[in-house]
Amino acid sequence: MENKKLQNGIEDIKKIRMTLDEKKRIFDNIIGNSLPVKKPVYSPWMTYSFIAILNKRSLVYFVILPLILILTGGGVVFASEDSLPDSILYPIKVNVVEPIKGALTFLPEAKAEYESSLATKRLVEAETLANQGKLDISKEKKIANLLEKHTVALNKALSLTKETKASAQVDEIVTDFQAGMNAHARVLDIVVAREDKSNNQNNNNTISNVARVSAQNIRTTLNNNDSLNKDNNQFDKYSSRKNSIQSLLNNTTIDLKNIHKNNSPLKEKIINDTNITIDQAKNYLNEVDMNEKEGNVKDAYSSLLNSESSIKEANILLKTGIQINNTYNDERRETHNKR
Amino acid sequence: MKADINHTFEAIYESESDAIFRFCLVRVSNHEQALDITQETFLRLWQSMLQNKEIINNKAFLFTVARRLVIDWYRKKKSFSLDSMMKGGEEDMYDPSDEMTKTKLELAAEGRYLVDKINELTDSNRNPVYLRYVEDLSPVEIGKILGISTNAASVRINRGLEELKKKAGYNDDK
Repeated sequence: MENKKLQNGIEDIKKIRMTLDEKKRIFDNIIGNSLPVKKPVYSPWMTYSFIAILNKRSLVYFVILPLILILTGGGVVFASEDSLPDSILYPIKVNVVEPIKGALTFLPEAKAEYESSLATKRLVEAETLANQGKLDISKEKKIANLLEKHTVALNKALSLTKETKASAQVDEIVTDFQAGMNAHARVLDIVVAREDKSNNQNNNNTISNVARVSAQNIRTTLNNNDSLNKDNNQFDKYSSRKNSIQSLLNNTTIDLKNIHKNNSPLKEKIINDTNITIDQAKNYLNEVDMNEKEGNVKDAYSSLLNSESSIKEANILLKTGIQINNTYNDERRETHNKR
Repeated sequence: MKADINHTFEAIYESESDAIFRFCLVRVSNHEQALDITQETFLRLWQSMLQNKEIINNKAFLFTVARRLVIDWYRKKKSFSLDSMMKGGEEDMYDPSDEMTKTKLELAAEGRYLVDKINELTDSNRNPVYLRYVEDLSPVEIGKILGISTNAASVRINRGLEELKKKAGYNDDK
């Protein structure tokens, strides 16, 4: 910058200075602390402000925030508990909540029971969706995959139970699983058939097929394990098991008789199927008696398990089917009243 | 501890007070007002030092505070002027010519002319030009004071200089 006028102007401006008196006065004012240190003016609402509390007390970060996280997380977990595959919370339930619960179950028997209950839960979800007319192919596939996953996990847990020698409990788990899968698969088929307006006779869907195959596979695994040979206590429990089956059979027969019949085709189908399953259970019990007479203990016990599975299936089929039918009728009544 | 702070502050005050006062006076064109803003600027520095706040560049800190106080002063002055007009009291009305009187007495003709022309520069160019050529600050320091990048500060300095030459009628060959 070689411009002379500009240089002169700048030099003139640079001559601007405070006088010594002004300089001293300002310095004394500042150093003499005649002016107090300005403190920020706090809002009167600071006492009630959450953010203000966070700013004031760092301890709050260690108490309030984890508490909020726990409550929010707990809320989501609680809300996801009853979610169905069409809900946004469903992935949280099946991918986070349930696997965590499973990981925290350590005994193989408890783990097997847990996986069995999850498999039944998947079928109940499918039934609920089908009853609402919301079960499409993608949801069917999703539930079928989960069902297969639970069956694999159950199989793995059952294989670990060999070491614990709790074979009576294992048999109980397997028969429960078999009964639950078969009964819910039947209910699902009945509901899907009712919803299917194309009158297609072959209404078996992917989920019920997977459920039946899973039940069969688990039962086969039990037979292969041959737990009977490993646990002598099982013979001691044989007669009590037979009695409990007989008692369950009687109760289910009474329940079936007490059901009020109406013109509902779904109800009729359930009653018929329950009757058939009860007859199957009775046949298996007859086989038990025959094998006992022939001294074939192993076959007698196998028939006893089949009988137990069948009567449990009949019981579940009756209760679930009637419940599904009632829910469906209630919903229809509500829709009709709204119109 | 406080004695150390006193010494440091005194040294900064000695070296920078005139530059800050000059900056304020050129911008507000009112001697007493410039003194007030200078005092307030150094008071802020003093308080920050007492609170042990870390100040990386004292010069940049002082010019930043002074620049903001000048902006505040302009805002207050504007609202005061409008209030006065609303009340209709002509004797209280703001008159820029009165404020210029004292400054004009302190400066020679060429300096006064240049101050007027600097104040006529566009807002974005005014401070970069003043800080570069009057206070001899580097583009890095100017960037820090104005909250812009060094490159942006350099660009504004060059554009501002061209604008100033044009407005003031200065040509390099003259």
